[in-house]
Amino acid sequence: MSRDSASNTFLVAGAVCGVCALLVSLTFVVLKPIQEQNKTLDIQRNILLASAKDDAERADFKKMSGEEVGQFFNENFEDMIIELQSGEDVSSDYPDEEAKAKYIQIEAAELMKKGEYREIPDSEDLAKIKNQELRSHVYIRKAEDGKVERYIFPVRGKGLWSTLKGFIALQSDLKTIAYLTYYSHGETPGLGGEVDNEGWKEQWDGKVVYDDGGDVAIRVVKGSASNEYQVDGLSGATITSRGVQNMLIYWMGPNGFGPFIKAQQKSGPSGVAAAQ
Amino acid sequence: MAKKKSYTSILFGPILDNNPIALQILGICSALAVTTRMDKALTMSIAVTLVTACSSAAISAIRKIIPGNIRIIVQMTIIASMVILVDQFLKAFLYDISKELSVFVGLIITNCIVMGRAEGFAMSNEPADSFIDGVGNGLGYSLVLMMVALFREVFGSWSMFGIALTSEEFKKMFANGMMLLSPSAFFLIGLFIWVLRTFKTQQIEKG
Repeated sequence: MSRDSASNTFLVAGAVCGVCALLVSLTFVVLKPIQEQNKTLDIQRNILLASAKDDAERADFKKMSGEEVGQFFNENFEDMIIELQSGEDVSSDYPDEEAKAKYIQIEAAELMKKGEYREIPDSEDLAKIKNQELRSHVYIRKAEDGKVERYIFPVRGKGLWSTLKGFIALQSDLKTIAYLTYYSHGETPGLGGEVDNEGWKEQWDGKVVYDDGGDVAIRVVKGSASNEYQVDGLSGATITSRGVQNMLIYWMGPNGFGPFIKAQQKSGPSGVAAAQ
Repeated sequence: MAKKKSYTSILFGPILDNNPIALQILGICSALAVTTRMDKALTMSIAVTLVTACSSAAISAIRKIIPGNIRIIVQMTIIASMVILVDQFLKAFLYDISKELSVFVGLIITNCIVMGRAEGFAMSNEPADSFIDGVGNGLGYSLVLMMVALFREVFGSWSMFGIALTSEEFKKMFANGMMLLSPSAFFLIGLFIWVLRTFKTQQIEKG
């Protein structure tokens, strides 16, 4: 059989494809559990970092090994899944913690999983994310006595070049910001990239999201912030600053976690925390 | 065919005499993207070296039965599979770095060096030679990558392999933000080529 004959062409092409496909799928199947665990631990570490009470604790979280992160998370956090539109807790739909952790909301929206996302009408799409998942995680950090210490909400929205993905941590009153951190973005280093700057992140501590009427009042302003609803913008990064502001207005508002937060404030969060 | 080259010349030739980036100007795109930090550059270097070496060896092993008219597709399939393997291993065992490298590991598939070695060397040489040629070209690529990353990380963020070299204050004063942007990699590669061609004058192209 000659090398360039049609039959040899088909034979070689088929054999190469077969061997390669086998190799690739084998590795994929073998490595998948490890990769999924990595993903979960990575999310958990970022939640820990967002929930830290001070810089020392944050530094500790950074140094923790993967195992310690998982352990700390399981002991101190409640992973709640809520329906964004109604604000209801739907965690009971998931049989166990693992099933909850496997629900990755960004994938539900970005991969447009059927029945798990909605298209945001342009007029509402402040965060410029186009598709929004219907259900979201809310992570609740609790003290040993069960008292809520922090609520951590995943937020994301477009900056100048990229979608900024991060977590906002609120105090137990669900109004006061404790921390805002991004774990993934592609903004210009030195300008918009300064959203990672510790000095800038620190000024979010103590700012208030909602005004007395319950509307989202937090703003990122040019110049210097003059009250508890304002945060200094990043100099040289107007669009990134506006992106940060808009994503907070969106995610804290009626299309984001607004319904959940209102319901919690009315009834008091589940469990002991209501006693506060 | 010319007389057989020794393993050492196959291995070390591509590092300075016939560097894939500096002389052939191949694989520039990834050199811009992954050189802001040395640990990223090192991971990328190892990944590219592995892929080039293994795919060259595999392609060379079956070179006599690959039909001429579909040879590029067959090479591509083998290279792509290797890249997916590397990507999967990184995601499993070096998760943080793989996240930073993101799409650029996948883009090794389109790295001209890999394809160039497969078509230009592996198709006409023994598997062992091809493997060593792949390692050599990988090392040539790595050398440029690490040099560029060294300058970009030290002057851009005053650290090496992510470990800070100076105090926060010093960094704030003297960090050169431009080093972290892609164009600086162009300047550095340009300077590298200039220095190299000053010493190896036979590399200068006749105008």
